[in-house]
Amino acid sequence: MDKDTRAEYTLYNACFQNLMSICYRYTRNQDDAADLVNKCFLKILTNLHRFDTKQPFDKWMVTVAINTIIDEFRSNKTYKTMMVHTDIYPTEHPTSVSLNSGESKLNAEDIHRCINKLPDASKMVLNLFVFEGLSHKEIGDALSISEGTSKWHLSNARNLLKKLIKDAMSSIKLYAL
Amino acid sequence: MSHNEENLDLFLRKTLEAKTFEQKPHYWEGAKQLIDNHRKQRNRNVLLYSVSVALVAVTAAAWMLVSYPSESSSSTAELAFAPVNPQQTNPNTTNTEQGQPAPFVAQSSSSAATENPSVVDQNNNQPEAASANNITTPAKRNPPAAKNNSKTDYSNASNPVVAIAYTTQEPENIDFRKLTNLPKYTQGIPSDTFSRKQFEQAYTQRKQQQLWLVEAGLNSYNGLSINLHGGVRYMRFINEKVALSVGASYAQLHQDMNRTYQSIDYSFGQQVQETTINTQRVDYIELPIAVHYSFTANHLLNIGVIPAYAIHTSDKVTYSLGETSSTQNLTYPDAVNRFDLQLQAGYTYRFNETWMVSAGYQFGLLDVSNNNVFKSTNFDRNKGLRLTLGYKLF
Repeated sequence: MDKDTRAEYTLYNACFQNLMSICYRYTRNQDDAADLVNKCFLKILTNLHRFDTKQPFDKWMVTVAINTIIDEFRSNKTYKTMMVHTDIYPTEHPTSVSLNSGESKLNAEDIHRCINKLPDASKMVLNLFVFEGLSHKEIGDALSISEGTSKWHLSNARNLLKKLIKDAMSSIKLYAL
Repeated sequence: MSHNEENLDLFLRKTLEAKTFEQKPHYWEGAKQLIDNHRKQRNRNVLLYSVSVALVAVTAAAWMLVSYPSESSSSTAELAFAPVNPQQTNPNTTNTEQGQPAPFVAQSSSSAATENPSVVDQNNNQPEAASANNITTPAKRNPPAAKNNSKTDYSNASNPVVAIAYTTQEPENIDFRKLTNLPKYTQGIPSDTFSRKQFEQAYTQRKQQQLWLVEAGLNSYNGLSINLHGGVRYMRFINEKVALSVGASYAQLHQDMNRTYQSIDYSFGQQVQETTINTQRVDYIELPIAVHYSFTANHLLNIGVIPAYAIHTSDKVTYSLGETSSTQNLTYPDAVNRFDLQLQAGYTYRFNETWMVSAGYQFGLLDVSNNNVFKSTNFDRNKGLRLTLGYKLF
């Protein structure tokens, strides 16, 4: 391993957990997440000269990663179809569900499975809003949709997610019995 | 935001952000491969840009050389064909079979003599400048009065060399003292007279060596499908045999590339979702550069390169999940590499002064498919035939 490769490997190790934690939420499994991590890492590496050393590296890295994920999402040409055809997933009435983690006994894998069952567009909006802390306006700008559509996707995602979590909890209880 | 929603968000964050991941060795291998591919692609792009710039520069330089004689050759040959009063000329400089003094004699510059082998007296068909006997000093050949007279009338010269400017200047603006070259196509002009009319005829012939063409045709790439292409081309003859051309065109090229990727849905039993992207056509903006060799008056052989940039693709995307599938016609330009470079070789037949037809074969040097997207190692190149009809605009 030459000097540059060793430095890149060190940087990769330093970034891996953070990037994986972000990318995992947007993908279906760890291998897909690792592919996305690699794309984010390449973007970080090729834009390293733009990093302002006065700013925290983690924050910059997360920003680059989220932008890369949004770019990937947008470059997927099914994206437009996804944004248009979301009406095939009707919004249901809010489901009441107890989310006491001690009670639910759902782990990260279970939650990840539930999130993955959401429509891609709603999942994207949910991730950007809940985990990355973007506003509806920022999400709308990033995904080229209106704020109203972003709100609809978030509401849709939450409602579906509550139902999915409730179902998952019921199966766990049944399995426990 | 309701309390229930806040709880949900908090629960999601708390659960998922706590998860840690094992870093498997093949993750880094994948990253390293991606970095290497990126560097190779960057190097290829640098090479491609360099080659393109070099081609454009060489073409531009060739044109400039053809269009504007160098300052040095202009100065050495400045008075090469100036009229000389036979009585002022050294008798040793005469070189006609009849023993008459030549009204136009070459300058003592050896470059003027050797660089203009086509300087021919039509009567004896010998290069006037080729003999050392007709060399005189500029002072002897060029009296100040003649040198300063830019309006010299050649029409009354008894035996003038037909001197045609190797220049793009309009006939009216030509300084006849600066005539530097004598293209072969002027040899047919009678040498015993030289009038403005004859000069203009020769100049018109010269202008005809520059062609502005509008072209359109059919192509068959990567299969038997027929598509269209068309554009404009500027062609210029360097000499009577060789021409250079550059153009701008739009071409629709047929493709038949299938790329499939799979994603797995792990929720309650595995389901494999398969997406197949079939790129059916790529539309390019092209800048063809070619060299043409005219082996007879109406037959030309062509060879060159076509740098191209993809502006649009037509794809058929099929999604399959379990037993259900759906197909949509979409555009997916990220599935192809935007830049392409093709070698071309072909043949052109000129029906007449206005119409011509070309047939050629193109062979792509770059991979059309974007393997960074599909992680493929296939090398898909553009290759096919084109039939083009050209019309000379002016």
